[in-house]
Amino acid sequence: MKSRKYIWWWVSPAAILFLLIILVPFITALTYSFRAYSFTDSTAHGQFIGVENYRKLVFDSDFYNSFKVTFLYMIPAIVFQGALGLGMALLMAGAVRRARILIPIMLLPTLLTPVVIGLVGVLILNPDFGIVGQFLFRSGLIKEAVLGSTKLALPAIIAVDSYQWTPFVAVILTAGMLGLPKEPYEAAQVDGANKWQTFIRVTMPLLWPYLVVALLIRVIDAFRIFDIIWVMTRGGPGISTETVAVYAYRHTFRFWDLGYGSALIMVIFVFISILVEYLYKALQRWQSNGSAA
Amino acid sequence: MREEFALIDTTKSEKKKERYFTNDRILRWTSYVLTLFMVLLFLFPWLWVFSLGFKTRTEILSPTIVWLWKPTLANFHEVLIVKGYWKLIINSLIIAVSAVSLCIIIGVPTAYAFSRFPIPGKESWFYMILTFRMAPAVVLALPLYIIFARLGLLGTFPAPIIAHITFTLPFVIWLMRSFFDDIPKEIDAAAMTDGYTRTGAFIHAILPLVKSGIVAVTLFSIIFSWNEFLYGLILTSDATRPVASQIPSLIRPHGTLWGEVAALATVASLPVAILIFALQRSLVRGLSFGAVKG
Repeated sequence: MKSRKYIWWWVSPAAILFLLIILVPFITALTYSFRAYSFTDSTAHGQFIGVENYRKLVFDSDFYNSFKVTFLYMIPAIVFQGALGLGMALLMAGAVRRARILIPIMLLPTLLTPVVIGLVGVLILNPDFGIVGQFLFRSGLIKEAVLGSTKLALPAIIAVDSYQWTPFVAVILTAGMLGLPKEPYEAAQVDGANKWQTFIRVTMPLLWPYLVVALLIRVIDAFRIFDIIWVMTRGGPGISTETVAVYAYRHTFRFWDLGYGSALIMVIFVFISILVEYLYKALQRWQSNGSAA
Repeated sequence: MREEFALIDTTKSEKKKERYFTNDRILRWTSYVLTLFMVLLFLFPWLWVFSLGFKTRTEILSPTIVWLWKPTLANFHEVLIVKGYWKLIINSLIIAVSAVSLCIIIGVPTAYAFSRFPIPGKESWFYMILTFRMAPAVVLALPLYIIFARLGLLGTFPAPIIAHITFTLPFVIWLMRSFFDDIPKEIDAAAMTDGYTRTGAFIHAILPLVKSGIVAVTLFSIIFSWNEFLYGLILTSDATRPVASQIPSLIRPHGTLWGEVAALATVASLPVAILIFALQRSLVRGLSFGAVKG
């Protein structure tokens, strides 16, 4: 009894703060999701309308489009970043062992302000003076500005996202490689395995948990990505690069339909919590195995 | 012991004399060179954008890329001093420092409690904390906007500071727990048998051991707060807006002053670039939410 009270003293400041600034807003959004509340429509002043917002959501094709765009961006981005990150890690591991300074240098794009990374994309792809855009335009490979094209805008975002996050995947895997135990390699050598066999049978299974964690974080990030897209295309042209987060932003802070926006973020939240549960379980399983230490 | 090492060393160097260009050696050096090339490839776009900040408008818009030019600070002067955007940097600092220091003061003891005490429903709480950390910003931005509008807080500093706490506090608790978990519980027990209370043991025995962890978590949180875009955009006014939230509005469909945008982006990136090097040893752990302790 006494010890319980004791624990409460330790966690109460954070618990109260969490309650006030995270749970209260969350519940506010939950209640607003059952109301009509819009700054652009004077008849929608907060009256209860049941599940109307959710009904509207189910029939909104733009909503499905935003999930489609999110997956169209996520899947190639993750496959590409996973493969390239693994390649880079294999290449880097030896050099990083000697020069740890390579890790912060490599991670510069990952940790830099996303808005600035988006700006790097905009400037590089600029058809007038961008170092890549100018080349693509002059050489006649493309006829329109990359970010103004419904076909090329999403690949451009994937490229910029990869510029930012491939180093992250590579560095996580490099850290994994540097921590691998020696014994399995000695055993493989004794068994006469060649380099390729060693890589497939020894390195990959040992690295697998690192790759899973890195890519799971990327999967969840795909639903968070907003800044880069907002800087590069604002979801356009049309809605061709409008991911879930951009769609939610447009309906809340551009159209000011806060009731509908609330329903929307509830759906997104449920979706994220399922993904996070997977990530969390993977992390826990891994920490209890102790292989991550 | 020392002799043994010397022995190994001589055998190795004798081998080297035999054949200097072994396959392994060539492979290793090739990988070093390729790594260097790769690092430069990733740095190049960023450096190129920086270079634009030091160019005049004609040099930027030149149909052929200008590689050699006389650097000018005119863009920096124009955007920071004449347009007064240096205030945005101060705003970013005010928001980041307030939010992060509050989260460290509150979050560190909580993380310790999560690491040591049998809190009922501990793992569910932890899972919920992570979920809110991983949700898109718009999920809390909308209700916070509604609440702050009611309270008349929109456009004041508390609005973005409170919003930044919503993602900083979960991060601090989450990552600090992994640092506390690394410290054996026997140290707490030993300090308490020495006559310290639980709080005394925490302050005198445990905190000194996680000092570097606290520094890492602080710097990481400052970077995340500095980088944040959405809350800083919708919950602030022109007087309280942080720098990251202002940059996109400088890009216009026509007549964007690219030199000034690049200059402001350069200034906004520098603190992050410096902090990354200070964080060196904890980067991997912070980015993987404590999962990888490389």
